[in-house]
Amino acid sequence: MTALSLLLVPLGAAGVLVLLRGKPSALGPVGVAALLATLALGAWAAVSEPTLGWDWSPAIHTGLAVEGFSRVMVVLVPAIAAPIFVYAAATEEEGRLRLLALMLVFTGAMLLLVTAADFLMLLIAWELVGAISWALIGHGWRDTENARSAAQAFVTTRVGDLGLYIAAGALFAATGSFSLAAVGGAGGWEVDVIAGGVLLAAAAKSAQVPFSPWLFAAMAGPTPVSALLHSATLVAAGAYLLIRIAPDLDAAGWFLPAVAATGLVTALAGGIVASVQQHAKRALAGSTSAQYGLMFVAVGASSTAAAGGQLVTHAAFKSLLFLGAGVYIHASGSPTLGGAPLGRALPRIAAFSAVGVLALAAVPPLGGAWTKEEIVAAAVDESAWLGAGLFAAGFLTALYASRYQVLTFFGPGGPRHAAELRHRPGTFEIGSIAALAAFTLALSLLWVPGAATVVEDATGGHLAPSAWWEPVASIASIALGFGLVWAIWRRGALTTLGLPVRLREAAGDWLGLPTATRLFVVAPVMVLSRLLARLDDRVVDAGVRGVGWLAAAISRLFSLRVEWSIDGLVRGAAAGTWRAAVGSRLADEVGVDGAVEGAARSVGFGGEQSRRLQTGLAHHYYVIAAVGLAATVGALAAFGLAKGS
Amino acid sequence: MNGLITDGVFWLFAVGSVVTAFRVFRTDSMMRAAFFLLASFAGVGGILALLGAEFLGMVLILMMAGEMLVMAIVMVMFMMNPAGLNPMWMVHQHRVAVVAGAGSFLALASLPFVVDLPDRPAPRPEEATAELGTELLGGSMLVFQTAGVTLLSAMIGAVVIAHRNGRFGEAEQGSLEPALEPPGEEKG
Amino acid sequence: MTLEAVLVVAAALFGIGLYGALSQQSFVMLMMGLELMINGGILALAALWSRSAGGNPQGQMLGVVFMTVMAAEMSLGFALITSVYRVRRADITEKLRRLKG
Repeated sequence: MTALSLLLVPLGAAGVLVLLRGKPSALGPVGVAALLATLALGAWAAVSEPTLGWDWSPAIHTGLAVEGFSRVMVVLVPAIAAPIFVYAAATEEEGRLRLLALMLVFTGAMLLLVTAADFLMLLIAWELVGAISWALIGHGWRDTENARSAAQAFVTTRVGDLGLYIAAGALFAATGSFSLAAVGGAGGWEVDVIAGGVLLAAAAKSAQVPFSPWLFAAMAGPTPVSALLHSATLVAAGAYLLIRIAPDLDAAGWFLPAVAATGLVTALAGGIVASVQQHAKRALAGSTSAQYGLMFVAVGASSTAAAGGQLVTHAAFKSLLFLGAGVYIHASGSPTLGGAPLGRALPRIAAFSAVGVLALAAVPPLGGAWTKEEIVAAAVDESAWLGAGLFAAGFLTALYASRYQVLTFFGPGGPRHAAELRHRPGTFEIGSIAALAAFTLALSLLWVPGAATVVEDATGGHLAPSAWWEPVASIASIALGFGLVWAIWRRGALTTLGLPVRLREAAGDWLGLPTATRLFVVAPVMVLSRLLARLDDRVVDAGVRGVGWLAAAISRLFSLRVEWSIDGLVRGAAAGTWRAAVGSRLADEVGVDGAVEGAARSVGFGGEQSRRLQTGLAHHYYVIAAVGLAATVGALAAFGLAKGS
Repeated sequence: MNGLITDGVFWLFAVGSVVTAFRVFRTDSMMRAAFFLLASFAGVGGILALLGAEFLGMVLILMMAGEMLVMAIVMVMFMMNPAGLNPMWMVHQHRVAVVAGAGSFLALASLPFVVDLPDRPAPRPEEATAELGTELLGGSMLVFQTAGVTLLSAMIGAVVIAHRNGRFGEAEQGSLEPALEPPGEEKG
Repeated sequence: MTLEAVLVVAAALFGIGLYGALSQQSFVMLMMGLELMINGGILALAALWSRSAGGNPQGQMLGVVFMTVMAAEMSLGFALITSVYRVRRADITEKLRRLKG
């Protein structure tokens, strides 16, 4: 019952918001109260581990269960959603009711996703989350560009959803059950299919290469929506799925290395993309891909515990950063980086944002640093190359994180007082950011000895032992990143990084990934379909035309032969016929003509009359058809009655 | 008791679906008409389920839900006044239609009382869906497949008819009739 | 829920549908009438299947065929509406009198 109420509270609250549409000021408090109630329920559920099941059909059992890593997620989702909701209620005016209600529904759908005990529920939740995210991203639908972005995000993630369907089907074929716990029981070729489907679904949802560009499209939504989607919900779904079931898919030998490779490529590409962005939210979006890439690496290095820890810390600091970016955009009136930094006018926001940035850059003693150390430990344990890649990713992270912070808040210049800003953040905005900053700081507790066992217990995975030189190397790479940003900033080239525009644009647009997709996927499909159409016209049609020509030729041939053979006969008969004709003409003109002309006149009259029926109006014909049908049925009935009696 | 409840539910569905069916043609908004029609179909689907044809009933409801959405889109695209902001009374040959409708109702409704229909109730309604499944993929496989192919070709045909650009040029080419109204007053 | 009662309901739906199909000017409303008629037909079929044909599965099969017919008719109908609107700007039957003799 707890499991069900976990979903029903946010969904019910969304309904209440719709009923309260006349009172805009009541929407915020009601929604926040519902999310806090959900948080309490989630905490209770994490302890009591409720399950709920019912028989869909004799063969299919489905249900909800709070177990394993979902114990963490049921707390994390409402805990992150509540401050974001406060921020949204305080800032969003246009379509306020729709946005707030949809955010609640979205939270409910995400809770369904993390409590799903089997693939059926998971698919339902997966689709719900995708559909609602479409509505949230396209919130400002009056701008056509936003609607298009929402469609792009939706379609890209839908492509990945197909993988989940395939995986569910293969799982059912292999084990006769949809349960997540049954994944380990699959064997043979099915496990490869399941692994492939899961990887596709998770990579698309978590914006891994090559699906990453949809995350930029998702930036079309309002800032709180971005904060919600990127931290603990939509994008987290892929990583969550992997944390839950990746260890069971080890039977497909290629699966974990493929996950790790996807993650590493995304972490590096996302780092480069985030480093050259000129748009505040896009810089953060690139970093989201990269950070989820790190989680993929952790899963691939068989340390789901490290991935789970990273998911939690990332949710905290990324939502914090996004709300900070929202304040920056509102206050400066433009999302472009490199305008005037706002640190002096908004010192508190700048400090909170700095907390998030330091956590993102993995500076000890923040929680983000601990989880990244664990990922590095697991990766080095798995392969030296993976470890080396992660140090490079750590360097890039430090680079883009500090660049973002310097450009938004810390540089010199800019307004001195909050009064000079276009928009001053209110109490609720600052409060929600402060809450998230406090959460991020509280996660520093991960460094306390003994935290490792708690994390291992909560995620159901285990952590890898760490060598002494790994933290040192990590800190060195972070210091290198900070130092490089410092050096570039001294030269005043931080906005452009001193790179030519074309190179920056190419790198910023996901290193040309969308272009490559158009070039290698869209264009070949179009060419192929055009070729097929032409083949249809030329080859298939040619056959039909050829048959027609052949038939015409044969019929001409036959007509010639018939004329030659019959001609003589016809000429002989003609002479006799002539005489008979002269005689009959006399009779004809007098008797038959009169009758024919009379008949023609009456037919003409009938034609004139029936022509009036031809009104050209379909409904008149329809009446005639109905009358005819009634007459037919009546005649048949009369016939049947006569026969029966 | 059980029979009483079944009867009650049946009459609920029956009256509901007939009333909503009638309201389809007595509402100002085409949009609402579409949803009345959907309600009517839902009632019939419920009756089908009561009769033991659960699968048919549910398929009917699902299919009509989809279709009414398409219909709603078509209305918004092409029809004047889909929202019903002003009264709508777009009928012709109304008296003929009333007579035909009432006449066909009386004729058809009198049939079950005139004709002596055999009384052979279905023995096992709870297995009807399983039997239908066996029939679909067993004895009537050919019919089932034909229905599928028919639907596919209908879909392809619909796309071809509705598409503006055929493979050989635009749909309007060579088929435009001179406008009924003088130029400049064309609607649209 | 006697057989007669269901058949009367089916007859009512058919009658309303016929009324609508004959009286409505708008193509879409006309199609709604057609659908109501088929709806009544399906209901009568199911009633006879359940109460008078001993639950023979082929009866339900016929129902599936009815639905196929309905779906095909509707898809082509909508396509024709689209096409006719595009070419003639017509949304009611009165605007199409090309068949006039």
